[in-house]
Amino acid sequence: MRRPLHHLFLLLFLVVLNTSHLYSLYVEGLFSLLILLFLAYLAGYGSLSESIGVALVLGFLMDGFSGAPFGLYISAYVWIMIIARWVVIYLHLENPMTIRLLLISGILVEKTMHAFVLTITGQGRIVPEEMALLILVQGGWAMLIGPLGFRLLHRQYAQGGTS
Amino acid sequence: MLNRKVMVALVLILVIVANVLMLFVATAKQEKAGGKTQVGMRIISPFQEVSITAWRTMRSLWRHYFWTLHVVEENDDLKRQLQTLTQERSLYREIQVENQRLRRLLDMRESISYRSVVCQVVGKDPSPWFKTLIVDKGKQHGLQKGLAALAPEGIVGQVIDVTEGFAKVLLIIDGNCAVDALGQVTRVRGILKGGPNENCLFQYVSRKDEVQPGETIVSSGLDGIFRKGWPIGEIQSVYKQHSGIFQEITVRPFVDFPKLEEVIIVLDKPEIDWLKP
Repeated sequence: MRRPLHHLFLLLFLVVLNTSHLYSLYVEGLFSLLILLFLAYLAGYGSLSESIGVALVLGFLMDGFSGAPFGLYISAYVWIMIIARWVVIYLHLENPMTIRLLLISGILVEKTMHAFVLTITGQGRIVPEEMALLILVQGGWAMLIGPLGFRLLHRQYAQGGTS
Repeated sequence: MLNRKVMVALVLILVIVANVLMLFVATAKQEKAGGKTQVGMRIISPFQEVSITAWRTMRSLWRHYFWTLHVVEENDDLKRQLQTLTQERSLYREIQVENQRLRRLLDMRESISYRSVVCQVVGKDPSPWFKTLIVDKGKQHGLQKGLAALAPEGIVGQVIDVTEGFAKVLLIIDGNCAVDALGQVTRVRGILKGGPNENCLFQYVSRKDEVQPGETIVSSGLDGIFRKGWPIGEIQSVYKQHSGIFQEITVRPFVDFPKLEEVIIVLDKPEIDWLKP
């Protein structure tokens, strides 16, 4: 029972962080990476139903706040989750470098999905330089805090119980 | 019989196509998607309000109690500025009185007063590719879709979604926002749309029109959302291509969006006869 509560608390916390009115590329990059970190953790250690469920709820809440076509975040997070769950079958998540690579892959999948959807729907405006800078910032955060964040999440959930 | 790999590939393709179609439908029906998007806003916005209030209180405390070293110096500067501004205000009062007198002489109508509500910004769009804000007033304060949002410096955007207690404002720097606009001096008309680097693009201005950087762009009042003459921004650059009918004009908005904490929502829509059915 404690695990869903943990999920709920983390979801609310992450959405509030990501929609807070703080304009800084570095802060925005960090906050959106925290979401990917959470999704990556669930892909590695969560069950299929809970990880897809979290991706759906998180995407739904983020879509509610975004001016983007409804479904963009749901699609992005569900696809990231599907790909991550498939990839972690072949990876050892104990290795810090693997976690970094997993997060960077997540960043690239998310940005590719955004660019693809926004291009085909003709909504929004992606500036390649801004996109590249954001990827660089997020990648930097992933290299710096990825393994640490992953371990913290793992410890947090281990203390909180699994049922 | 198809083997398993082919089946998986087919299912995957089918899912991708369904996903793309779903997003297309969502884009086409974005005007009507209020219900779905509002659930998220209803759940999260109160938390946003609490967190942003806590953050601003902390910031205010920091500024008031820990930055006092700068205050003495700033106070001296402000006193000097106050003297200058007092003189300027006196001059502007004279101009205002003269202006009112001339208006009466010309039998022009006084500027119309309209109802408005001041809202606090509590959140922003999570995506860097879209520019929207969440404000702490909604239907119960009289807000509805299509109302204009202003700041003292100029136009902020328009309301695109409303719940009971919160509203979503599409900023003029978003690529999906369009404002019918005019050059204040040249009276050149065009459509102002969101552009890169938090600037706007003043589109559909003919090559023949002479516009210069530094000119103020104001709303034309013809889009049914913004009243005529509201300031938007200043022309930053003008580029005329060798070919093409239009110029490429970049406008820097007067509003500093990252620092925006309050907006004014105008509750009365402008009345334009030709918009009525």
